[in-house]
Order: sequence, then C-alpha cells, then structure tokens
Amino acid sequence: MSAVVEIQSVADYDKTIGQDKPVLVEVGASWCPPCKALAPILERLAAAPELADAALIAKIDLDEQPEVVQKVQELAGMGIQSVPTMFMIVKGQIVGGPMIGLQPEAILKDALVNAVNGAK
Amino acid sequence: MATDQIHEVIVVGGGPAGYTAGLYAARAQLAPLVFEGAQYGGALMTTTEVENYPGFPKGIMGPELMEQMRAQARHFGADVRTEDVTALDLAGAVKTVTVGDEQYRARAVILALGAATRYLGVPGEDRLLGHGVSACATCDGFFFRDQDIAVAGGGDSAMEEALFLTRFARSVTIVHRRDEFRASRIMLERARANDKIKWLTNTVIGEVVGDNKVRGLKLKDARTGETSELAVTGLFVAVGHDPRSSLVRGQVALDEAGYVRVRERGTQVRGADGVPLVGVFAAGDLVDHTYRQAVTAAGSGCAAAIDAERWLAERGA
Repeated sequence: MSAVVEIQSVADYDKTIGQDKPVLVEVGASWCPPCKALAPILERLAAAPELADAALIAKIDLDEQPEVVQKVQELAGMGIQSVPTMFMIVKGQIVGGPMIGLQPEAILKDALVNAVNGAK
Repeated sequence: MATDQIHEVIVVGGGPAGYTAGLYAARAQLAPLVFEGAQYGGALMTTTEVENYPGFPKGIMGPELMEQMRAQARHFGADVRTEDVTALDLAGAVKTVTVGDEQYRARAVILALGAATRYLGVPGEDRLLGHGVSACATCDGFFFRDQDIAVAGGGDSAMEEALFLTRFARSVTIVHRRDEFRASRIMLERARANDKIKWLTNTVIGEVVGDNKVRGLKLKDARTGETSELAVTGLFVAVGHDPRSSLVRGQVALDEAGYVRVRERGTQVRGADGVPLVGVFAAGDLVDHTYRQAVTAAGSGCAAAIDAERWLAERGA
C-alpha cells in the first residue's frame, strides 16, 4: 500500500490537515512530468522510519479534486500556477512559502524534519 | 562514508547521453553506476512531442522517450540511481564521486550533466517564477486557459512551447530580440500558421511586472529604443540552455560559454590546464554547443562509453 495519502474529497482533505502532525501537501497532475519524477521521492519520504509516524504526505490531483485545490489556494492566499506546488501544513495552517517545482529529496526531508521538530 | 569498492565506470547524468553511456558500458560488462539525478531524464522531460528521434515514425513524447532509454539501460545492467552527485574529484587514477554523505570511487567517469534552462535575468522574473513565469509549458500551460500569454525566445523550443500553449491560451505572443529565428523552418511555419500566435520581433523584455502574479511585460524595441508594455498573465521562457558545468569548474577546461572541452577526436576531457585528463570523458549538452539534439547527445554518450571501455582495456583493468 502506498504510504502517501491520496486526497479523494474535501472531507478527506479536512480530516488529513486537521491532524496533529505536519502534512506535506502536493498539488500535482497526471500529465506533469516533474510530478511523475516527484512521486517516488514522496513515497520514499512517507515510508522513511523517522517520518512515518511523525508526519504525513498527501497528494491532491488538480484535475480530479478542483474543490480541494480551491481550498488549498484559499488557505495559502495564492493562486496555484505551476505544478507540482507543495505546502507544509501544520495544525491546519500553512508554514513557510510554497515549494514550486520538483524539489530534491534532501530539501523535502529537511522541511519535514523541521516541521516535525517545530510542531512538538 | 566511503566504500572500498572501485567501480570501473560511473556515469554522472541522466539524459540521452547518460543513459546511452550507461547502456553501452553495461553491455561492455563494466557494471556502470549511473547517477541520473533527482531531476532525471534531462531536458526532454519538459518537452512534448519529439519528432526527430529516429525509430519512432509518428514521434514520441519526450518523457516517454527518456523512460524507455532509462529502462533499456537498466535492463542491460546499468545500476541507475535517482540521486544528485554533490562533488567530483577527477584527479588521479581513482576518481571520487560524492553523493551527499556517500563517496563512490571509479577508474573512469563519464560526465553527462547536460544543460540547465537559461532565464532572462530581468527584474521580476525570479520573484514571479511559479506565479506566471515558467520554463515548462507542459507543466504549467494548463493554468493559462483563455488568457493572453507570452513566450520569450526564437528557437525550436520557443516555437514548440508556443504551439503547445495555444491549446490553452487565448493568445500567445512570441517575443524575440532579433528579427531572424534560429528555429527550424518546419517549426516556424507551423507557428506562423497558427492564428493564436502573435509576433513581436526586435523586442527585448526588460522587466516582468506584477505583485503576486504576472500582469505584464515591459518591452523595449531593439532598434528604436522605444518602450512599451504588453499585458499578459504568463511568460514562458525558452531562450536556451547553459551547460551544467559548475560541479567540475576548476578541474576541467571550459570554453567561454562554460561547455566542457574535450580532445579534437573522441570524448576525453581536457583538464583545467588543457592537458587531457586520464579516465574522464564527457558527452551530450555539457559538451555540445553546436547541435544539442537528443540523437547527438545519445550518439556522444555511446562514444564516451566506448572511449572509456577502450581506455580501461588499454590500461589492463
């Protein structure tokens, strides 16, 4: 089973970001090459022992979940104009700026570890 | 952490050159390690249709072509790793390739680092990257449905991006600083035949305007110096690529534009002093400032692997 949460509805999204642990949310699309390249990186991070219980990684498909994307945009106070765009959400609030485009695994891991430590 | 193992060949880079070098080295029983990088696949990953790679009579999508080359290299024994090389030491008989905390050693290294997107370097561009400024039409074109947008550039990739973007946008203005185009005739004709594409030649982009997202471009006429503003909500930059040679700067000879210099014949890299470096070869867009095609990159990746194989055989590896 995939360790990355695939958001299927607004209720799903609310439940996911309402949790106590930090959530790295990726807005992506099936037709976007960098999103495809990002997928195995997110899988590895979600399965990493030091992060598995402490943080969540969630994916939102731009085409399939427009209402969820709208909610993310409202929360971020910005329109998404590039995929993938990622946000770190802690206790329902966005922390830091958007991460736009494919990011190296080390950078995402640092962001997750920092969010986990900050949330404690 | 360093391992004791000394590899025969390590390939640095994953694009047509890197995968082809990996494929040839694997078939030569050299058990190559290929560090393709986190952004594997190279420049073709952000292109759409590739119509000039032989063997695909109807064309093939860039990312699909790269997936196939990657799978082929793997199938024949290349150990392909999706990791970024962070440092290289190319001196001496055994080279060191550093990947984060890990160090790998090899007798031969093939550099296939490719080229990175060149940006305009004008005010507003960097700040608005991802907020209307993009270098990837296939990633971001979707967001510009029924909008007026611009493409900067005059080569094949600018034409390709513009044509692709007409699927979404209301209009696409190609802004080019000269009145002649580097683009091939077929691409230029296709773009000219498209009603949604408008043209602004002899025009230089001076600034990308907008607070949180792109609102327009400040333009200057290259001949008269007259300034104007173009109201667009997106700018796609396709003004070329720069070789990714920063990792080897100081260790190898580079030309004025930053391309790695190799011997007149073959793919052996010249050291910073101009003397050929033993066991170091280079291929693809890192070296080639003339052709820069997927097929020429693949061809030079093949040549680099054969050069490496022969060199290893000669020194009795």
